[in-house]
Amino acid sequence: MSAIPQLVALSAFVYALVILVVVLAYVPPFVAWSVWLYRLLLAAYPARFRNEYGQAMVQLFRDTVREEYRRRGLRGLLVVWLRTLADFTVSVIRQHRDKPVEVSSESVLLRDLWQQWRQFGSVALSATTFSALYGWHLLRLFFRRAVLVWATLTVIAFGIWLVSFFDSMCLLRMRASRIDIGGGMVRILHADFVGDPITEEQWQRDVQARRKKYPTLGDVLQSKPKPWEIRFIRDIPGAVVVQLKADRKTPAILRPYKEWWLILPFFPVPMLLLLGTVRAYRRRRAVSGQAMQSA
Amino acid sequence: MVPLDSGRQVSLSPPEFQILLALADGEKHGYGIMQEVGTRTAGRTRMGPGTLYGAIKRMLRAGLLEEAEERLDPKLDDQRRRYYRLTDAGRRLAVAEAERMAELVREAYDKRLLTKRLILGRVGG
Repeated sequence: MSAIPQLVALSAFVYALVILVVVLAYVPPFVAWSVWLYRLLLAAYPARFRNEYGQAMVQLFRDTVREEYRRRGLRGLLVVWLRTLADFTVSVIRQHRDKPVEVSSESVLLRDLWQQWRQFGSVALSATTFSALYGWHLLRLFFRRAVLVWATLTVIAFGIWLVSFFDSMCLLRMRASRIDIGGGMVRILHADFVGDPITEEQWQRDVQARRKKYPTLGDVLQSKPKPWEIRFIRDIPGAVVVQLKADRKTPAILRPYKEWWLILPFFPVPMLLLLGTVRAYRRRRAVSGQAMQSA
Repeated sequence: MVPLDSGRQVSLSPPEFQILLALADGEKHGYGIMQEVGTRTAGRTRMGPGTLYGAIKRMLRAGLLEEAEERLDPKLDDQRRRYYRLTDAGRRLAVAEAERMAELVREAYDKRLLTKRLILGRVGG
């Protein structure tokens, strides 16, 4: 009874071996090895490109190798490999350069956080160094002049909040079904480009006015000034495909339409700081009042 | 940059124009395109798999090509192959690009950079 699985495995092995021998008898091993090696090289391409065209590329390479090997033997094979390696190097770099970056709301958030960190990283480093050097003095200042510290923090927090608020209302305003960035494809339902912070109502009015002025999206995109070089537009059901030549170094320009109320949850931070300022101010007044009385 | 419809401008790279030319007389698969380009240019232009399918990807996205039905090529083997053909936009673009090149050749001829014999000889094969 227990020998049956072993027999099945042995039969499968022998069967596979026979197939391998038959295949190798008809296909020169050099061709098979070349194809195997090329298949390995395909791993260097972006996954999406590989999944879409990998099989066809292997097929094309195999046909070329087989033909050259038949005509010129190993010399032909070597020439094909040299040409293929040059083509491989260039096309891998190009495909990675053109690789679209899919932007989900999560990745936008992470990217924004990273950019904020890059933007304010030097400030944070300076603050840390300053704190390390003068931390004790800061603590003393905090206990003696708490109102000043609270008030400064409040002003900074309000400033950051306001910047974030206006930041959410400008840049590229788009309602996007999917966005790919990087000189690649931008698939959008509708897009409108604004340079200044505007409200939702203003934006809608602007869109309506532009729609009257420019009946098709092509007309809109031909208008000036344009934020990017727009190379191609295609209307497909439910979406518009636009190819943009955009600068990868400033991806913050391209982002899905962000609702202004998303900033609201962060509003309590400056409010709490303001509350702290008021309380510190009252405490200080009470302490100074007691000091006056005791004097 | 070649204008197509209103608001549409498409620029073609040399491999892309070669692919449009190769497909001008009918559907072909990748290896067929490569062979046609190699034969037509007497081996001067050779496209590897990466360049060819990179260009095909861009042209499919731009709506210049479309995929035909996947099928066997009786001349090669029993594997199914993806065939490609020109769209109307692709054909119009190929015509526009060829006209642009013909205009350049005419200008070169007017400026005595080319002789009629050379042009006709090349055209005649």
